[in-house]
Amino acid sequence: MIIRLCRIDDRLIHGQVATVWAKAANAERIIVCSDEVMNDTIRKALVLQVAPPGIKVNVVDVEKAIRVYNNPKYKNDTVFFLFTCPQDVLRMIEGGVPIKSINIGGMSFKNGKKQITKAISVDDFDRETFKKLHQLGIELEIRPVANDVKIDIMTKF
Amino acid sequence: MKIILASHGHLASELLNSAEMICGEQKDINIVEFISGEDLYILKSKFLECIDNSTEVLIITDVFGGTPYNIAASIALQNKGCLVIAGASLPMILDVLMSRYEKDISIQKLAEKILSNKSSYIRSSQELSYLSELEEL
Repeated sequence: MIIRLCRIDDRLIHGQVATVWAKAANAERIIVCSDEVMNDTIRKALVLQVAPPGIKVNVVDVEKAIRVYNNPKYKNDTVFFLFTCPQDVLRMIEGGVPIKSINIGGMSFKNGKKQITKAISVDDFDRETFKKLHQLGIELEIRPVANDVKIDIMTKF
Repeated sequence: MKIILASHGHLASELLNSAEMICGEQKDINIVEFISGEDLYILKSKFLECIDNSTEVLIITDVFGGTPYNIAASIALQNKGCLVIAGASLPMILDVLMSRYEKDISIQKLAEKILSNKSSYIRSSQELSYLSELEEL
C-alpha cells in the first residue's frame, strides 16, 4: 500500500476530514485502524456511512491493518490511515508499517487528560507514546486543516 | 475567481464562519446581505461593489427566486463573467470552497459540478441500513 496520510483524530470522519483531508490525501481508501472502533458497532456504522464520495472506507483492528498493508493484493492502492490514539500508531510501526509522519488533528478531552491545544488533550500515557514515536524519528505535526502551519507536538510538552 | 455569498439577513456571513470552522480561513469571498427593509438599489450596489470586470464571479444565493437571487441574476444577465447559483447550504458552500482552486476550473465548470453534486448535500441516517452491502477488505 502507498501511504498518503496518517492522522490521529478520535472524531474519525467529520467535517474537516471529509472535506479537507480526504481531498488533500487524494487516497482511494480511508482505513480506520482501531480495535476500539472495530468493536463498536455504532461508531463503525457511522464512519462507514459518512465515507466521502468516491473513497472506500474500512474499519479494521490494528493487527488486520498491518496484514492488509502487507497484502500484495493492495500493493498499488493509496491509503489514508486514520487513528484514534498514538498507541495504535506505535503498534502499526512496531508491526513493520513504515509510517514517517503523523498529522495530529483531534484527541478529545477526558478525565485525567490535559488540554494542550484547542482540539488536543493528552495524558501521561499519550505523552510517553508520542516521545517514543519522536525517538523513532516520526514527524508529529499538529494541524487541524491542511493549510494551517505545522506545529511539532513535542513543543507542547 | 471570486465568490460572493448573498443572503436574506446574516446567513451569508455565518455560512462563511461555519465553513471556515471546517476548512480553515478563506480568501476572495465577499458577503452581500439583504437587510430587512433595505432598498433594492442599495442591495444592487452592494453586489456591484464586489464585481469588477477583470475577475470571474460566482454568486451563491440562498433562496431561488428570492430578492438576493433576483438582483444577482439580473446582474449576471448583463455580465458574461458572472454566474448565480441558488440554494446555499453549508455542504454546498464547502463543495464550492474545496473545488474553486482545481486546475482549469471556470465559474461555468464549478457551477456544473455543484449542480451535479446537489443530491449529495442532503442525506439521511436511513442509509445506514444498506451498510451490510459494503465491500470488506
